[in-house]
This record gives sequence, C-alpha cells and structure tokens, in this order.
Amino acid sequence: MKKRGFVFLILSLFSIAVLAGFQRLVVPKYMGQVVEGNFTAEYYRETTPHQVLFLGNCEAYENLSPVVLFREYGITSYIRGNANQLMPQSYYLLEDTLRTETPVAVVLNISSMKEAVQENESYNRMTMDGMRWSSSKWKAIEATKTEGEHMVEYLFPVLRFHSRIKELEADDFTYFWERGTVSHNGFYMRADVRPAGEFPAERRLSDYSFSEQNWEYLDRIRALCEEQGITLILMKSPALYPAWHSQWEEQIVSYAEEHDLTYLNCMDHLDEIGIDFSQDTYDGGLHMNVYGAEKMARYFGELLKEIPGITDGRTDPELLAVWEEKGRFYDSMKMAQETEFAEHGYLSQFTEAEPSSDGS
Amino acid sequence: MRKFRMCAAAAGLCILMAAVPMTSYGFSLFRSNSETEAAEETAYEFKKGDTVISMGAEAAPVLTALGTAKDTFEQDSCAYQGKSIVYLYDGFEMSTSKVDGKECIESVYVTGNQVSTPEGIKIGSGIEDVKKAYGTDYEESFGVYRYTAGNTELSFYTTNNVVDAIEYLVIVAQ
Repeated sequence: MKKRGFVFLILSLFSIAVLAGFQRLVVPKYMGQVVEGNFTAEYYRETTPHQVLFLGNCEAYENLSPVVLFREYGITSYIRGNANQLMPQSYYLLEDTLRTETPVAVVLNISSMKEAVQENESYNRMTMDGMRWSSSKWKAIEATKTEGEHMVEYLFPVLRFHSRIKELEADDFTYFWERGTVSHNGFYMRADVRPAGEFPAERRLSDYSFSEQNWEYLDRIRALCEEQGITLILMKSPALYPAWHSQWEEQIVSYAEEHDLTYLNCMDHLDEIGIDFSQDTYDGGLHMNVYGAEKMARYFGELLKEIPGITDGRTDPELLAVWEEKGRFYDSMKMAQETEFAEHGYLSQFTEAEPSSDGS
Repeated sequence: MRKFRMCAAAAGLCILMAAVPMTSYGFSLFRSNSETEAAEETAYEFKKGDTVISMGAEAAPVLTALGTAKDTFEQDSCAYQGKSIVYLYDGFEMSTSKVDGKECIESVYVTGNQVSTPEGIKIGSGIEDVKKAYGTDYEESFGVYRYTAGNTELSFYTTNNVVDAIEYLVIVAQ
C-alpha cells in the first residue's frame, strides 16, 4: 500500500515537472527585439531599496536614466514601467512595490491617462506575467484583461502559449533556465540616433475626456501615496508625437492644482533640460535615447534632491557598491551600442532583418 | 484503491485536455461570421482622382496608383507590437498598418479643402450639406458626426456647424 502511494506520488511529481518544463519552454523569453516583457520580473532581483519609484508606460521607461540619477545625485530609483502600461496596472505595481519597500517619492507619467482600454493582449502579458502572484496581480489582471483573455491563462501560462511549440526559436532553449538582465533599473537603453522629422497632422478627437477608470486609478495612486507619506509627482515626458492635446493637458493641470501636486510637463522645459530632438531621440522624436534620458535624469535630480527624505546614497558603502556594479553594466551596454551604431548606422538587436535577395 | 487512483489521474488528464480549447486559442476557432458580413455591406470609400481608397483594403495597389507621397512617416508601436505608416499627400493623409503580414489601409484623414469626399463634402462645408449628402443616420457627440457603413466609420468634425476635419477609419473587429 505504502509502495503504491509512493509510486503515485512520484508519477504525480513527474507529471507536474514535465508540465512545468513544457510551460517554461513555450513562454516567450523576450530576449530579442522585444525585451520589455522582462521588465516587471527584473524588479524582484533588486537587493537594495529605492528612494524614488517611476511608474508609467514607455514614456516612463525610455526617458530617464536611474544610473545617472544615482551617479550625480546619489538618488536610488527604479522604473516600474512597461509598454502601454495602463493606469490600473501602474496602481497595482505600486501596491506590489509597497509590499517590500516604501519610496520617498513616486513619479507618475500621466501619458497613459489617454488609454482607456488595452489595445493589444501582448502588452498585458508583458506587463503582468512577470508580477509575483498576489492580490495586486489578480486585481490588475481583472481590471485590464481584454476580451478573450482569461484569468486561468495567467494562472497557467501554458494554456495561452502552448501553440508556440510550433514556433520555438533558439532563444527559447538558450534562456530556458535563466534570462539575462535587459534593463537598467527598468530603463530601456537605446544609444542610436534618429532625428525628429515631419509628423502627420494632429488628429481631432470627438471627446477629450479621460476614462472614469483612469480617473479612479489616478485618485487611488494619489490616496495610496498620501496614506504612505510618499510625495507624488506627475510628469509628462518630452515627445513630439503622438500629440498630447491641450484639452488633456488642461485636465491634468487642473487635477494637480486641485490636489496640490507637482506636475511637470517636460515639453514646457525643453531648453532647461537641454533636449535636442536632432540628437536625443532614437525614433524620430517619440522617445528619448540614452543621451536624452541622461539629460532628463540630471534635470529631475535637481527637483528630486529637494524632496524631504531624499538622501545622497553615495555615502552608503553598500549602496555605492551595488550601484557601481549597475554602472559598469550600464557603461558596457552603452559602449557596445555606440560602437555598433557608429559602425553600422543601426542596432541589429532592434532592427527587423531585411529579406535577402533570394527571398529568405 | 489502485484502480481508483488510476481513474482519478485519467480524469484529471481529461479535464486538462478539455480545458485547452477553453482558451483564447480555442475560442478563436469559432469566430463569428459577423465581421465578414460587415465587410460585405457597402462601405464608405474615399477617392483621389480615379483611385478608390477602401478602408481595410490592401495598400500596395493604392500606393502604386497614387504615386509617390509628399512624405512618409513610420511609427513602431511600443515594444514593436505593430507599425503604422502615414503617407502624406496634397489635401489628405493615408495611414496603413500590417494585418496578417500585409500592409492594409487603416484610415484616411482629410487635411485640406482641395479634396472632397465622393459625395462632395470638403473642409468648409456646412453640416446641413453633410446631412443632405449622407442622411440623418449618424451619431453626434461634441460636434463630431459619425456615419457607419460596412467596415468604415466616416466622421465629420465640425466647429460652429462647419466641417473642419474629415476622417475615414476602418472598424476593427473585436
């Protein structure tokens, strides 16, 4: 009887191991052109706390360098941002962060206020698959899943990605056990340059109202920060396209005034920041490259250092050691990208391969 | 007891296999016919000279017929989850995006009064002219009059009852 029970247990464990291994194989690894899917999970590798937390979509994670913020001001920070991260997701990532640390300040990029619903399931998967399971993750999924997404597919990703077994790539095997670090405390580095050019006409909208859900979660972020004694700053990154309509700007300005919050629209301070859209963008003016992001860090450092509770971490030997290591990784990636861009005029990792003359 | 455990394990496996179709992958096997039906209704089309521009249609033949654009703007979506291209012509812009690997027409945005819709409406037309041309089966909000036909949404943006923007947009199936 005992022997049969033991065999049954072994068989069960073996089955679970096989399923788990299969799941690990088929889930996307995000180590190629698209790396954003690793951002959320990378946060959990941090070993030291952060004084400032940045939240938001691509305008958050592409436009400010945490390494420069530490190097020049001693301010520790992390960017919990993802591609098309929605307001509810920013709220639940804040909640998730507060389980283990309480930053002095939160800087919330408000560009995602204009996104009422998720436009693509991939963005949800990239943002939320990497979250550790908690009530925050559950609620984030419930609040933002698209029609056709199901909670069970987040509980068991193999149910969503099993069809990838027919499309496996080398990366799925190379990164089966472990993936490398792709961000710099959540910052997406691009050292290529594509100057801003002409843009299509700014398109009219019929309704410039932000959704009720987005207002609700902005309020919840503000309330949670208040409750925890965290200074909340609203910001809009420098971006020439897509348009940030004046009607949206008015609503954010009004909200900030009503709740006595600092709101910084970087587009109104380009000269002070030193942004040059012929040099500081990698995609023609939509996002900053590393040069623009470093300028943003220097500008924000001046603002953040004045917040009560912000201290210079460079005097702490443990923090200094950790951030010097981060700095070495940062400099190494920056140099590699600069070399490749100087040689080829593009970064191969982020460039779709052109079809060859024989059609392959 | 052994038989019971084997049956329980088999039942568990059956449930798991049955659950596989209950995923977005499975649901997509039973897509409704409504999206194909919608496309088959007569949709609004924009015309430039003899070139008919239908929303959702493959862009290549239209681009060839229209000739070289004044300018082209390409935008990768965040994390390369898509790419939009906007072709700028005199009086209008045409946006495309990839659908199943093919570049398809997503929208046309009229930017100048040198072009008009096939029904004769252009920037500067009065809203009464719009209603005479397209009827009264529209939805209006904040001065925007929206008409829907087939897979196309045609919007007239007005200020003080005068058209100041026109947009054709493909209706994306949910």
